[in-house]
Amino acid sequence: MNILEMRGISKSFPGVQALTNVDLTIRKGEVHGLVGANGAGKSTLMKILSGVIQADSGEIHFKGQRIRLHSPLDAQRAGISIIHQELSLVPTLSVGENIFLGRLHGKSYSLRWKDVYKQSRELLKRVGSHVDPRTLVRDLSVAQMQLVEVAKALSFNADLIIMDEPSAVLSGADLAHLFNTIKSLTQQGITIIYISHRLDEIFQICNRLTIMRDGRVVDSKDVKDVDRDFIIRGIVGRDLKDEYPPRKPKTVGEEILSVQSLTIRGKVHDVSFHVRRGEILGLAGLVGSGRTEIARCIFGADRYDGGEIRFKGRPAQFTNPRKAITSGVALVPEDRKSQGLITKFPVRLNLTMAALRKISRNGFLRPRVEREAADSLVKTLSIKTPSVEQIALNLSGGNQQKVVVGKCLFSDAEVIVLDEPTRGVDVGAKREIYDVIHELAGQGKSVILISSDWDELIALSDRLVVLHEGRVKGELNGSEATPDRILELALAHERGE
Amino acid sequence: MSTLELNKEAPQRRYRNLLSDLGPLLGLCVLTVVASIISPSFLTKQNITNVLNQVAVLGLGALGMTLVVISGYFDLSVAGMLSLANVGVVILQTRFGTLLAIVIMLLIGVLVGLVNGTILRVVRGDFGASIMITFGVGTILSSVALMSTNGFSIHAQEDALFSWFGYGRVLGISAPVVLLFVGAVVLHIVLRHTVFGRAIYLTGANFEAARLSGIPVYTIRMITFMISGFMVAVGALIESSQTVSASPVVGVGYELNVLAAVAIGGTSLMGGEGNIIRTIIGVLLMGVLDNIIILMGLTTSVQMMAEGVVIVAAIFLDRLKSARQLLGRP
Ligand SMILES: Nc1ncnc2c1ncn2[C@@H]1O[C@H](COP(=O)(O)OP(=O)(O)OP(=O)(O)O)[C@@H](O)[C@H]1O
Ligand SMILES: [Mg+2]
Repeated sequence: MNILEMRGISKSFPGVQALTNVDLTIRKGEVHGLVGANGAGKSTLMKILSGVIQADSGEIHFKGQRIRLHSPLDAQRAGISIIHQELSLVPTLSVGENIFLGRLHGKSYSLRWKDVYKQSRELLKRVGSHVDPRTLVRDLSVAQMQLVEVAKALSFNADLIIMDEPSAVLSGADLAHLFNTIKSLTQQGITIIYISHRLDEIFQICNRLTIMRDGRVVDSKDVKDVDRDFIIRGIVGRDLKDEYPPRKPKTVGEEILSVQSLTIRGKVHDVSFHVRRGEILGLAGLVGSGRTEIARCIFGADRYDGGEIRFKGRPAQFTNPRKAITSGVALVPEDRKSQGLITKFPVRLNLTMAALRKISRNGFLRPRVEREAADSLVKTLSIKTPSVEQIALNLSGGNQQKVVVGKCLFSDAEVIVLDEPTRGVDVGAKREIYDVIHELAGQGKSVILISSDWDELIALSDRLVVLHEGRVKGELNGSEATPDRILELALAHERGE
Repeated sequence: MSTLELNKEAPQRRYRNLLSDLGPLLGLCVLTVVASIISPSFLTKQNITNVLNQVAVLGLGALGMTLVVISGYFDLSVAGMLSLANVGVVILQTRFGTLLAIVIMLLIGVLVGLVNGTILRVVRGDFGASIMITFGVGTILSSVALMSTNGFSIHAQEDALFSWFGYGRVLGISAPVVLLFVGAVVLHIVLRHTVFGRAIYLTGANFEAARLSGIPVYTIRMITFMISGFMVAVGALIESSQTVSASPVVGVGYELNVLAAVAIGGTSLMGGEGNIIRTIIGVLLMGVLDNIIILMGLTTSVQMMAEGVVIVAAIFLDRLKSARQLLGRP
């Protein structure tokens, strides 16, 4: 039985035809994968289905009835809830308050804190999260926030839950929790639309899938009838020979940066590692392993309590990011919306903001130089945008991520720290970013890579440092690493060391 | 949404933004037409010069404040700064002569900005902190001004240099207007064409993203405070020269008028957007409004009411615009 039929949906934005005559049919109780390149229109279609924006034309039939959605509230009432691609929690409120935002009071308009926190705790347990509902959201990691978003979506008791790239920042156990949650939801008769750029996941949990490209539906199929190459062809529009660039034998140079006994109270304990010129070093670990914290310390964004970071043989006095950047260290931060981009500014300004000296002379901006630089970055990373003057907010999620990567490239650093650089990026574009990373290493630059996609991490890294709960658990050679080896190391008992 | 020059995107959108950006200018035109109908003397050269001379002090403060606001802070110390520089130059004049007094006062303006900026850097102050800290600093400055004259107004010694600020002429244009014009042009160029100007926008639009991009965010904000202090000190010179005296309470309410002029022009008080042209329009709007009321022979209380209405209306319309944009409706 079909729970949802979207027919002939079209939507255009100034300068962009985002959706053209899209049909989508979803059966009750299934997990329906929605895949497609960056900017294919997946999020736009789902925003229409959740009442966030309105289609220019087309019909939506839900549970056998035609529905009209003028606002997110209409969609909630109809039984549709959505987890948006970009996190939408209020950082200064507690987890529980966020889950029940707007529904905090009972009939008497008095707050029922006990109920709020009790119910929040139950919801969080269902998604496998152990955070205390009284914690402030700003103290959570991005992965923990993602699980809170899922809990929040559950709280509406919806019949259809849309998940727009919920797994982009999850790995290992967190991902397993998410999948278990999804399975138990479908057992309760709830239908899921699941958007992801990680194709393995589609095979793991989806029953059917729909492939989109350039605002149109290419195909809808049962997952058991398709293989990986078929999906990739559908997404990219051509064959992609290899998802990862081949491993080339290479010579790495001398050590350029080292972290010695780095300690951040409560988060990172006595962590040491180093990276050489021309080397790609992967930091592997589950959420809470301290990877992001370490990256931010290297970059001078946060303070640390003990230990030392050495750069080119001398103590690095990176007390703020500016010093790191001028010395030649760059960072692609974890959360693009709050840390990487100025979403209301044009793509051009975002791309050049970390290297203003390159687009200026004697303190004066050089508009033509800036424009050319921005245009060429857009081309290198094939960022899909009508022009470099488009405001970043209007780009699709994956294209926004490419802007952040482009900005980091433009700063010409020698050590590049990439925290989830391919988050939300499609298979075709991922390959382009991988090639860029290889090229950087080929030029003798060093890359420190953090990724919750372990296949990616393994395929790219020359060497992997495995972290668990803020401690180094071991090191693996890129060619000998497997996800199982990483997990084994990460969870190895203390006594083994 | 964002500033005119930052926002050259898809044509339809630009057109729509242009319309809403033109709101304050439209308001200024309407007010001018109304004024010339109400009072035939409004459009005389004499009266227009009057209006411009009268908005110079407000305008100079608003120019500096524009930079501070775009960077994401407020500077409420301008009130105390105006009073202090106003009496300060007259007091110092007797001891050091006019030239040195002026130089010292301008330096103190810059120094006050430095103090504001340094405190806020040390406490890692956010927008709210900037309100309280600069208010506090401003209050201290006001009290110093009051103490130094025992609360009384004092007379200035007139000499050529001193009188120039209020009554001098350059190419037939009065000195206050020239100072305002030069200030506007310089700061306009700074904002639009320099790395520093770009950094101001970036800092105000997303502090964390700017910081992680290597922008020296607190230094940028500190420099905007220093510019603000300097501009107010220049304004204070004009004020004391025009009145040939100095009052320690001349700055009372100045900070809010300055902020109002900035906001009426359409610069967002949330930071990250705005420009000098808007501020000049806002300043002129307030000047013309005051002038109409004076020409009509109405009282100061009516003047206050009219200003209040304009401020509320301007912010109301502006917020309405952004609320619509938030909801994605045209
Ligand atoms: N508010 C908007 N204004 C202008 N263009 C927009 C807007 N929202 C989306 N677009 C454009 O519509 C197209 C589809 O975007 P959408 O976000 O739906 O892509 P997506 O399939 O979700 O991509 P991703 O995998 O990167 O998240 C893109 O080209 C995007 O730039
Ligand atoms: Mg999307």
